[in-house]
Amino acid sequence: MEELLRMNRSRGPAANVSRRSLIGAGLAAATWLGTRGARNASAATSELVIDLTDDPKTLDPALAYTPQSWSVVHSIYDALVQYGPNWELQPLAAETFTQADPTTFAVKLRTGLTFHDGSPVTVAAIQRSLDHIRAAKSDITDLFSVVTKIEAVDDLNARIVCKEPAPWLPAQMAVWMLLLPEAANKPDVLAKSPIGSGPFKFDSYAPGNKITLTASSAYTWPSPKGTPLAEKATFRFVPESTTRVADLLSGATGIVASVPFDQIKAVETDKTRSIVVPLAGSAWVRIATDVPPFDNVKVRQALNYAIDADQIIKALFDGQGQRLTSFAPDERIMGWNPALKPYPYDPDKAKSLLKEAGVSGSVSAVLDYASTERGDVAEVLAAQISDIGIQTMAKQTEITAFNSTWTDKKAPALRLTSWRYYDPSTLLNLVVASNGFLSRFTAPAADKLIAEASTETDPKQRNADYQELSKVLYDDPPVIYLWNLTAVYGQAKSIEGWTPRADEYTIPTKGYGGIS
Amino acid sequence: MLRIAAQRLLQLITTVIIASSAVFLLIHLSGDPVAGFLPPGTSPAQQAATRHAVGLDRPIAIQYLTTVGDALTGRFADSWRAQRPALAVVLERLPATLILALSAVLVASVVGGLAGVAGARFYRSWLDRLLLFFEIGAMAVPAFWLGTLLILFFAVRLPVLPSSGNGGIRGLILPVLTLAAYPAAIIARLLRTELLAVRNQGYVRTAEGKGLSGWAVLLRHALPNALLPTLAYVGLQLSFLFGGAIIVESVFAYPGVGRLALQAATDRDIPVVQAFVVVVAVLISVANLAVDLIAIAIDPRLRASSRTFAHGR
Repeated sequence: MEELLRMNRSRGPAANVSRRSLIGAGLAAATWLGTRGARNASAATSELVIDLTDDPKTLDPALAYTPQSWSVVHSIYDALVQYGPNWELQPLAAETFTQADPTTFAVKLRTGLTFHDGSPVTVAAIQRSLDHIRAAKSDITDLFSVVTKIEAVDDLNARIVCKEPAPWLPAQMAVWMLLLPEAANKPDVLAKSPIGSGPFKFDSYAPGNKITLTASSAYTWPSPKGTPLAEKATFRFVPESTTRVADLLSGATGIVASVPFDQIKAVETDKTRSIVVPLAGSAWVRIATDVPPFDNVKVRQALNYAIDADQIIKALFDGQGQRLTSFAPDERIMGWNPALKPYPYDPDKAKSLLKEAGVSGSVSAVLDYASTERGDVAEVLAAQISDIGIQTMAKQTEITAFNSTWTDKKAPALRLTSWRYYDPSTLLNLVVASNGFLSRFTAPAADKLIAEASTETDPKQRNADYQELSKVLYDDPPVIYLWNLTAVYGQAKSIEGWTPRADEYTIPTKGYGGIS
Repeated sequence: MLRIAAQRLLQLITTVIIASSAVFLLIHLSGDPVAGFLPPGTSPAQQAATRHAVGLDRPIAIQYLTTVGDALTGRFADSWRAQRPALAVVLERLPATLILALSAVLVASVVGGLAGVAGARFYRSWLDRLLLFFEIGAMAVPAFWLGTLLILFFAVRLPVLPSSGNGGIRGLILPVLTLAAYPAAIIARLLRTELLAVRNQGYVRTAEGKGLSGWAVLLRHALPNALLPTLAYVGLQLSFLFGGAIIVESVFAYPGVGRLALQAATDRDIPVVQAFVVVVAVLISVANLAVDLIAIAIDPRLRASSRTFAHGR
């Protein structure tokens, strides 16, 4: 910690330090004032208030791209499948969801499911969902272009036919292919008064303020999504993390999303607690491998030895997080390779690798990070890279500019990135494959494995392909592997049965994943 | 009077053109809006489709003229996020911010006015020094920190007020206090200085010579003259209040238009940003007009000149 602080200081003040430290001072004041615990959270059995970080801005499921939007739409709608606690796909509205042949998924819907308007859930709902994704001005229309048709066998059985094997598609279906009733075809229903088949009925939406839902009386079947935790659920949109924490401590709110690491301790009271959940996502520094000296694999290995990631996790993430050996954050994610061990912190080895690579004298680099990343983390990373002899400066870039320079040869060689994903294929195809839209990396062995795994329909073989890829990308690293991403929630202890989901949706149900 | 109205209208149109041009310029200087709007790694085909859907593939001159035309007619494009008219998205959030900002102006004027008068009346007393202490404090403390402290004290420590403000007068108290703190301090300081400055003017000394009490001299003779610069300041402050509202609304999760604008800017929801800027420009022009009218009502000299002016001599 001392060490980290020293290095941080030696790099000059981080861009966003002043505001955070002032808020920190505010928190110190809270401790000085002696915070009280939650007051009236026990009333939560009939009404539950949840603080999200932001307004979803739209109720349309095809336009939902953030955890806060998904929290709302997945409370109202059900998909065919969902992610379970161990990142396995679980049938949700589908009773069975199987790969009939390499290009066809066979779906059998559960019997007796109804939408909130009373109409039955039939396979027509799947077609309506696909039609809507294609008609909406959605960012994800492309993902579903692989589907050629949906054949209705009968009311409850359908075959989803793809133009090529698409083993990554179910993961996308779990997010975006939400079952729509016939009423969704009427104007404004999707945007203003959504009707789904999920655990909650839509009640009202006050933009910028809150969304109110009521429990669906029909949602009593043993859903792996769980059953409603309260008669009434209200999502509020509270962008400031200190305010969310205050909401929880004052008892105004039962569950708050996204508690910052430096406020975890403030949430640990006799009436409230924090819950830390590892996410399917990872943080890494992308290295531009098409410019010297970073085209040399020894330099990239040296960069991996240069980072004391354990120390950073301890000092800046409240000890929450684990090291990466590949893009896959843990054993639940496809491609996680148990044979690999994280690069140890070894600056001497890093220096000798640089010497072997012929790097000496004044080599410098810029570590670019988007305005959504933490400046203090970027500063420490830059300082540790500088320590092995590559003079590195951290530079914050506005998110738009950051996102438009992934393949720009004039852009900084190093970029700090956090990436959440549902299936490894998207990330690897974009960032690692040599023809990826965001890639500056070239490795024929990796390209071959990525292409194979993208169309491999046997899950075991697909995992084996990705594990092999992880090994290839460990020895020839396109990035500096850092740590997995985590979500931190605050919860009133009086709310029983709620468990955070693996996919970061905050849904007010109990019994998620079949846990009772 | 007609001529003044025409002049004001022309000013308003110019303001709208300048404001929308500035937004257009800034948006196009800060990189491809579509790159910020779509997730990284979106295929070139999807990017092109989005660019076409929102009209960014048209010639830049046409885009510019459309932007300014939209601003003048108030017919903005659909919000890229919400996919409904941007003006409606802005207007539905406007009342909350107006209530917040106007309450803050009111509180700041009353509190700042009282403190300013008290500071001048009891110049260099312990009261003056105490007020000075609070005024400098209020000017130095940033709104997000003051807001956070108020939440921690009034909502968590003594749970008497809601921690985030949505709905009801009670939810308005903390955000208004936070937003009003800075302008109240400035008003108090300005008014005090102005009152002290006119203290040695002939008419004040005449009033004192007539044997009027200190209060009467201050309120009846000194105050009207000290009020003008302060009022001018309050008028200027209205535009800053919108800026302050962005921070205060975020801290208190208050459903106002400032927070919407901040979100829209980070999301690159361009039509909403444009609609917001134009709506605020119009509002501030109108508010400045109101301030001018009040100034005319207070100051007989202004009244006379405007009458002469209106009659065209």
